[in-house]
Amino acid sequence: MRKYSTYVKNDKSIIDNLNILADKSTSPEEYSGAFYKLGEKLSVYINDRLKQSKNVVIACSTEDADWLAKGIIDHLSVSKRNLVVFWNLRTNPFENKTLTIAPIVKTYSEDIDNCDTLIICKSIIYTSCVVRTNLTYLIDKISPKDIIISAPVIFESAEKTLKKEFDESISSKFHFIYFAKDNKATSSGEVIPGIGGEIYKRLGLLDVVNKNKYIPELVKSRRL
Amino acid sequence: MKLTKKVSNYLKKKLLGGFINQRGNTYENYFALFKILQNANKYSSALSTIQYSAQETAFVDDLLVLEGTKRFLYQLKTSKSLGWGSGLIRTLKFDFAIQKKIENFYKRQFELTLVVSFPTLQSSLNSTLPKGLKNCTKIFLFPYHETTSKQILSDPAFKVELETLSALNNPTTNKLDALASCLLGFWEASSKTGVLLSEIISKVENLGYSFIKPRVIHRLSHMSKSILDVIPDFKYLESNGYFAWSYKMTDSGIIPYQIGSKEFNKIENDIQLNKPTTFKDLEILIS
Repeated sequence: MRKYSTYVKNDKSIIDNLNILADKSTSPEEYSGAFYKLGEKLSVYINDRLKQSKNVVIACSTEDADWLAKGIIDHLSVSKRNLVVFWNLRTNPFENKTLTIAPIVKTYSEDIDNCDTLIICKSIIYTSCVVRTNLTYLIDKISPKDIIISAPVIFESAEKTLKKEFDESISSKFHFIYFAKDNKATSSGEVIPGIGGEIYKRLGLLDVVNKNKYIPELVKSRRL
Repeated sequence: MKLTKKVSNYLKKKLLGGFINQRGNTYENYFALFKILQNANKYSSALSTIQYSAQETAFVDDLLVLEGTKRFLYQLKTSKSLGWGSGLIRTLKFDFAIQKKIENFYKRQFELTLVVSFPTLQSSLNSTLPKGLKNCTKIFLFPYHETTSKQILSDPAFKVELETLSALNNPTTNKLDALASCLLGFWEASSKTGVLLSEIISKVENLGYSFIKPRVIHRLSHMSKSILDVIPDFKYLESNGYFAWSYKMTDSGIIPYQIGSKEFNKIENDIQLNKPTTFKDLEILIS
């Protein structure tokens, strides 16, 4: 069953775009467009938390960069907003479903020194594996005062699962901004209704290996 | 449906039991992983002389590690309070004493270890260690953490063993987590009976994304090097059979396959065939 967060506030456009994601028949163009619009909507509530921030870093995975992350980054109110993009190889060693890893095989990183607010955005947070991996990598290098974890859809236990992975000194900085919370998942790990399946396939990026060949336009445009 | 107090208490106990079982199981697996790491580093050239078994038919039974002919038997406890007991049946003293007798009867070389997760227990059990066990029993502290990632971040001894076995210099937590999870994945999928360390390492070596230090290190071909060396702002490093790279100040990466593997050979062939002269041309080939 899906529950909407208080951020939705009966905003029909948010619900419509969440429905576009959940609907498996939408085209890659409509699907990616919905992510961009949801990114823009999330940025409204992210901006509310950025009032004291001067130096923001936004981090995402490659498949989220051109749509969800761009939707957020284009509408952030702070001028200094640097980007980090991760290419993760998400897998289960020896097909053990309880052991999900997502080692980082490639990184695009602008200057992250002196970051006071870190925004991690993700299309959907289910096991938290990718978010945890990328967040661990970043907090090894920086000490933001505020960590915003933002996604259009999260799974019921995602907040708890992610907090469990970090010491209280880190997890106390977490602020989750999301629109919908789902509590059903298939045995193959698909959240229902979630975002209508695997994002790579829905975006036309083939599979988990080939999506890592995709170089986001956002990265290309920002490279020195 | 409203449950009676009795039924409700029963359910609480049942759930608690399930939680304790899960915690114990995780602890046993993580400790086995720790011993796998330690021995893989210690006996890198004699891996086939080491084997692991869980839940042996013994009184000290959580893990048996055979190092050559010497038997190392481990009993694991995650409880907060624990004592050796009187020596009667169902006490730790009984289990360890009878195990000692059995090992001596068969004239085996052996060592018994009680592994605990709380530092206070380590000192209290050490100071009250029964006299008859002193020459063959150790108390070892192995902290309990719920996930491999937390174990890496919070247990320096565990982290050092992973770093030593990693192919990478200064590996980040996600690479160590990948290595830990690959080893753990193999252990959990195995029969857990007489599993050879050489078999564990060889299977994990086949998973490029484990980033384990390979036993045979292959090098990049001269032809590939000559192409890569002239790409502006591109740097690369061969790290124990893995290819790590960086571009300007912003981009970096590692190919999750060992040099010499089928997958890496394909990448090298593509480089040699396409002869990229800029990072833009190369990036797609090494992604």
